Amino acid sequence: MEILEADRIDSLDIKLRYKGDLLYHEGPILSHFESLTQPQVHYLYKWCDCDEQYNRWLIFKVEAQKLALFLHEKMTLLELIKENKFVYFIDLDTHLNQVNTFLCPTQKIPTEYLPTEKSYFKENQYQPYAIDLKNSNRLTTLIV
Amino acid sequence: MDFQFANEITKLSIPCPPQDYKPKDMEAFRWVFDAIEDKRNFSPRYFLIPKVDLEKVEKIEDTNKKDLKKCNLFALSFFISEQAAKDRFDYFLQISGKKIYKRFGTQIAKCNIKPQDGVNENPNKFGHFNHHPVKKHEYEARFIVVSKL
Repeated sequence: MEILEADRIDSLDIKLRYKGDLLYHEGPILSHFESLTQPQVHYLYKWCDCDEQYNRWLIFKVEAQKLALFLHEKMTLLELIKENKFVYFIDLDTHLNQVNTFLCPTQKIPTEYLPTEKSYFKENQYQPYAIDLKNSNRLTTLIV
Repeated sequence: MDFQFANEITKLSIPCPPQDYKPKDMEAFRWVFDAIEDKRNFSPRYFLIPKVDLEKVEKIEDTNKKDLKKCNLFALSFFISEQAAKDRFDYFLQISGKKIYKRFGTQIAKCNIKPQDGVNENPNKFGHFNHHPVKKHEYEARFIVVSKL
């Protein structure tokens, strides 16, 4: 796996609730979480790497309006990530233990871990959960 | 049919393969890793996913739901066309980055599957379908690489 230019931290300093998988093939690729303390603050877990021991996930915050813009193909996933000054990485072992946790400046994310500039939402590639989320009142009202 | 994992799937509480799975004569496409003998290429997910994920399945209280999930884990993932296999992978590549090759493979391989090879799910909106093979499928020899991912 890539060596991260990031600060190792003890654990995530945010409390999240799993909501659903947006992209899935034989396991999640992009998953949606919400902050337990700020329901309008969303987080996305994006799978980005693996080796024989670990799966690495990039975790980043998304404001509700920006999530709505992504789901309506007006922002890319790359742009959502770049809205943040810092992101998290976690390495999970095969027992889903969080083995490593990092706080990483967004500018230092390895290129191989970033989506492309064309990473727009494509409805025909997403799970039903993503379509329901896109059409939910709480997000559609944020699109102007 | 003499299914490859008959010992395992006949113990499930639901019919496995599901009854709406049908034998077909068609082309099938699959993501594979460089070396065709790579054990990941034709092993069902049941033998590849982390033990913890199997444990999560075992904890599902509804026996039928649990056994349907287990049944699916004994299937192989196929696509109905090279284009469907490529489109799905290309989108994952756009979203996840280049490490996705380590997770899913590097090439698309093709085989003409026959009714006697097993049974098939109806394809979903991604052009993907599960396939339960018989014991003697010999896919390692029959799948031919047709393009790079």
